[in-house]
Amino acid sequence: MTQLSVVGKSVVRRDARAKVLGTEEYCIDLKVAGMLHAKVLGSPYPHARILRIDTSAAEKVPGIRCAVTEKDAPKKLTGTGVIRDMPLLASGVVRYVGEPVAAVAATTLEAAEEAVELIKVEYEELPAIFDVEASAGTNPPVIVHPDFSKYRKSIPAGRLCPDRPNVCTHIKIYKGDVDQGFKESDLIVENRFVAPSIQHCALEPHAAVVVPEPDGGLTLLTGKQGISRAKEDVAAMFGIEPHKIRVRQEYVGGAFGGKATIYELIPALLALKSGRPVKWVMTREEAFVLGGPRQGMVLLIKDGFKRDGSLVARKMEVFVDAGAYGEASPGVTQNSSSVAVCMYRIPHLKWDGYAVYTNTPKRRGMRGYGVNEVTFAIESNMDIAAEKLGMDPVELRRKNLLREGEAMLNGEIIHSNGVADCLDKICESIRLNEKSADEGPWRKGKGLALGNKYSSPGTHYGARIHVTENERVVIYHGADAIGQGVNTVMAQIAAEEFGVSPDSIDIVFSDTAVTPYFGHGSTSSRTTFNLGNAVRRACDAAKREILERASAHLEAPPEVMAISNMEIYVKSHPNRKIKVRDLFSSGHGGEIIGSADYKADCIPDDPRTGQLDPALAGEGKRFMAFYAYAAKAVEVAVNIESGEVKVLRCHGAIDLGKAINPKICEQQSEGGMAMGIGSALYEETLMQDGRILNPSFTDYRVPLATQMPSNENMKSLFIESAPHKDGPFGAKGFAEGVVTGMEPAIANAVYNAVGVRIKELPISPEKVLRALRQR
Amino acid sequence: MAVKFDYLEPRTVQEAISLLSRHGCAAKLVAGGTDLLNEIRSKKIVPEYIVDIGTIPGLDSLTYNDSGTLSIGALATLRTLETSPQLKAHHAVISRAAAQIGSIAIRNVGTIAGNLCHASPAADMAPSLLALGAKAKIVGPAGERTVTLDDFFAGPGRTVLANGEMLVEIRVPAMPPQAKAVYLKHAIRGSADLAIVGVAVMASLNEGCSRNVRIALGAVAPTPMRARRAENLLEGKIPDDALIENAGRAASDECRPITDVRASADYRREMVKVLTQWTIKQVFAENKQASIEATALM
Amino acid sequence: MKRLITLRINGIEEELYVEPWWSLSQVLRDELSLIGTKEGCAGGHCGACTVLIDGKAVMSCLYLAMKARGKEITTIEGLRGKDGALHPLQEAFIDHFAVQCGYCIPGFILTAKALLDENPHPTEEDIRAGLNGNICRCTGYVKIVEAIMSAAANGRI
Repeated sequence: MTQLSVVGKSVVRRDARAKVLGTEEYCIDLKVAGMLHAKVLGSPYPHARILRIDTSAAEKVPGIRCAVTEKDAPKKLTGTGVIRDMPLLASGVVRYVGEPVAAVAATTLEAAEEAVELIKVEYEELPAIFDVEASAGTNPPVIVHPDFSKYRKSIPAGRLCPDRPNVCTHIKIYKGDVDQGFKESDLIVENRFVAPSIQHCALEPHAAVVVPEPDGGLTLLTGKQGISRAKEDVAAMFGIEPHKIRVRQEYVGGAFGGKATIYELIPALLALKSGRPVKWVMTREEAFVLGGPRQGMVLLIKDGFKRDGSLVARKMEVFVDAGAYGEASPGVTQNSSSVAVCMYRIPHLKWDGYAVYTNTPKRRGMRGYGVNEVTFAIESNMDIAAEKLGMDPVELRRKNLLREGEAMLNGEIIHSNGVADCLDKICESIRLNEKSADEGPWRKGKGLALGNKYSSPGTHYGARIHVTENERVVIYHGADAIGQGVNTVMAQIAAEEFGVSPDSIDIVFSDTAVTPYFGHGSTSSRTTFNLGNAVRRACDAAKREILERASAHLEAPPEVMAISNMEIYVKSHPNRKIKVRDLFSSGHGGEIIGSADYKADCIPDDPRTGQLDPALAGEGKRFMAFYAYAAKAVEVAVNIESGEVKVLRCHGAIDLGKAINPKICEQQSEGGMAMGIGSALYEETLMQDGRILNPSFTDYRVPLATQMPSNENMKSLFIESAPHKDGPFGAKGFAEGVVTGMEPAIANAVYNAVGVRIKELPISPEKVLRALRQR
Repeated sequence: MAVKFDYLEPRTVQEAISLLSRHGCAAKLVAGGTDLLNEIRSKKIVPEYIVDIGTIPGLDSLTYNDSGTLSIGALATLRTLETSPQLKAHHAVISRAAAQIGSIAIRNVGTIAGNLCHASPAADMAPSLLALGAKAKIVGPAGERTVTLDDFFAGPGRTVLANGEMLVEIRVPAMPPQAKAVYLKHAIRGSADLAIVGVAVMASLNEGCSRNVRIALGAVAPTPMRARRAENLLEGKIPDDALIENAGRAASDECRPITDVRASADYRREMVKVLTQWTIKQVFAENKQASIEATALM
Repeated sequence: MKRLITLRINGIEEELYVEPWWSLSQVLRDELSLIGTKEGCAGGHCGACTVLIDGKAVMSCLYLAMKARGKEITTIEGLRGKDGALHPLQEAFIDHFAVQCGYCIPGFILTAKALLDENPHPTEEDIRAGLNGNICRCTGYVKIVEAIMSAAANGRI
């Protein structure tokens, strides 16, 4: 095993300096000459017919240059490629409070604000449906998309559900015979859990500047996840040839899944109509409504155990509230099932997941993509079962854990699974069985939970390496710099490949005109794995080019030469060497370029059963690119008089394969645990009749520094005992796995402290107090 | 309607009053502006004129007279109140209440007048000032008047300030001898959040009996309120745990909370019961501590 | 109707025309292109817009530009030394990996500066309480607090 010189070290982040100086320009900061400011008018009703829109008064406001309604928009529906069900602007009918109905662009933001209030819209209210379980039925009182069958979809027939008119996707994972399994069980544990909608709350609100180009194309200056896909979507919507669309960005002020939505279509429409650049920045309130609340889930779980704790059967029915348009929800419904599939050995599984339309704001996938909610249900249920079985909850888990080489419940053979080590280390770290003393009305308790987060294979992801005549290595990549440290990590990888310092590496990123294709963008914890591999392969390609050129100089074939520290030498005669910079001087002009891409070679599942083809699975073919496993343990204090819950200690163990930059890994882990504390205790999108009641930081409570344990009580443990054979240096991705398991760990700790079991998040003081009083 | 207003800067209180009288409801006073700008942006109010009293000299002082009465100028910032050594020595509860409002950045700009005149039922300065028996000095076109703070609040977001009137000073009598006062705020994220329940208690312990008991509640009625039944239960009696629990229950029965996005009425009622007990106990603990220290000094 | 005012920002007198209803953050960002002061919520909750006014932290989104006349305004751009050296807090944030997406960072650094100027030896609890007007969604605050403690311990503020 070669010694690594840069990978594995906590190299200081290369983007930190500009950020502490305040010189980094985010999309919201951009000014383009001649730019107009956009404002959007949203629907006041959750479901209504649009009878008439009159923009004439708005258009008279001084400074207004353009007003658009659905009449101006292409007659196409958009979405995330799974379902195309959403018009650019509401067309004929509005389906959620806040749905964009019209938009204006003006020379000042104030003029735009004034104008948008003068747009007159006449509506005819229609009955609306808000409750996800009621909406998922076979005879719901309101059908959100009566034309659903006509929409373009890439949902296989096995996943459609014509007898449930508001269900846009039905995910089935069926293995064995759960009814038989329950008959064989000694103990059945059945519960209902609810994980409400929460919000990403990236500090930079969604923003875009769209510039119309002379050739009829568009340049999008944005701050999002997935520039390659944005380019495709914009091109498709407006019928513009893709090469005429350029999408570029610098650093993004936070994303967490909320910025993978295609919101640039509105300013793009205004730019095309007005012929001027148009900037749209969502207000914080708009970011809460249009930037997207997360799906909410209702989870019904029924587990069957033998007396000795072996899981025999699991039945889960999961209702995913998609809001008014499908977007990410089919993907969330499908992918969240991975939690049920990849952790425990269970002979019989029946998973039915429904992505359900309601007349509420369309939902955005958020860090975890459904996995956190499912983990909450499963890992709470495991603790409930452990108590009924009279078993230690850790032992119950250990007994049922799937191991390397075993088949998951969909047939995929497990590779790279460090969960057992995560579990061991976390128990040791938090001293799970030691209980702390009470303090006045505060009762202490500890709890743990396991978790996992898959990474979808996606499409292909490219990287290009240029080696310059002054021996600098330039990485070109199209991933999104959303705060995760992608550029620092990629620089380390390239530096390792070339045996140079990361200071010799430059990075050109996030520009579809210049950087290679990057599939779905930085989502699904995919960047380190996919881009890391692409970068390594591109480095190899560049090195091959270098050796080719050196071959002539050193009069030796490439196979007998090696490169180290920007010098090529003949392995057997190291004195025969030449510097890379000298390769440029003799008529070989131009940069040395190596290009590559990476695509995880995965297979699909059967839409009717969620099972993989057994033969292919037996060969080691996988469904997901990888799974990162995790264990979380917390100590809480619960005030028995007020119901308040404080997190005293928070430890997270994450099976990440290889920590390429340990400090950056800590950053992710700490931030993830904070997000988990937020969703476990404080966060909820409150809605009434489809209207969000708390679209502001006053009443949507993200954790502040005062909600977090002290620094010495936050621990991140990195498990590198299960490296991934296909990951760069064994690394997987885990930027979502760091959140997973926090909610059930806290719920389990609260139970340990005061004996109340909260099954609906967030675990608010009111719920705890009510439960305490009822006991 | 985009946010637009004209900005007027009176140099004196008289000028401010005449501007307010002239423009009536089209004009709004601004001191720090932290609440006002949020209200304007969310269209709760649409003033044509903002009258900025922020630079009127002499309105931000904190002074004690010979009899220990405290005068707080309307423009005293919450941060000034939080950090004032004088307040910490003589009316510590005011400091502690101010410390529980928002963040330091908000407290650097927000004023006592702003907090009281914005008149949120949850206004954090109100309960402690009510418990201390504070008075509001108001100046208007018809001259000066003083109103006890109990009579200052008229409803959620409303005070008794008539057209053209402004609050210029809060006057707080010296605390009764040996009296202690505590304000506890119950909110999900502490001072960053609006109070779900706020309780202030002032009391002294004389020969083991509670005296001068005043209890005020915030966020559980249309205005900050006194819990007089609870006060009467305690006054003159030995405050044992059972009595304190009854006082908590009484306060809980007296309050009229609503259910809103922050909490349900039931939880608020329950927390009034709990918080009142905690606050009373803390006051008496401080009384006992003070008398131990006084004895030690003798 | 716009008024001609003078604002003193990072030691420099700037003359500009402002509408009475403009906030200081709008003026900094839109009129003076000092984009280091961020907009996160326009409501004084997230702290991304924090600037120092006469050395005290203030939410510039809630501070009328008209009110800022005659005051010393410090933005993140004004924190570096005249020789261009980073302020010790800026260095500490880099060295302690306190920066992720970076959007909240100018607000945190200025808040921390005001905190340490007033209390050079804060406890961790003091720091956390002092940061309750600043939201970070990326870091969990761990390394932000660590950076501030380190800067305080080094005593070169």
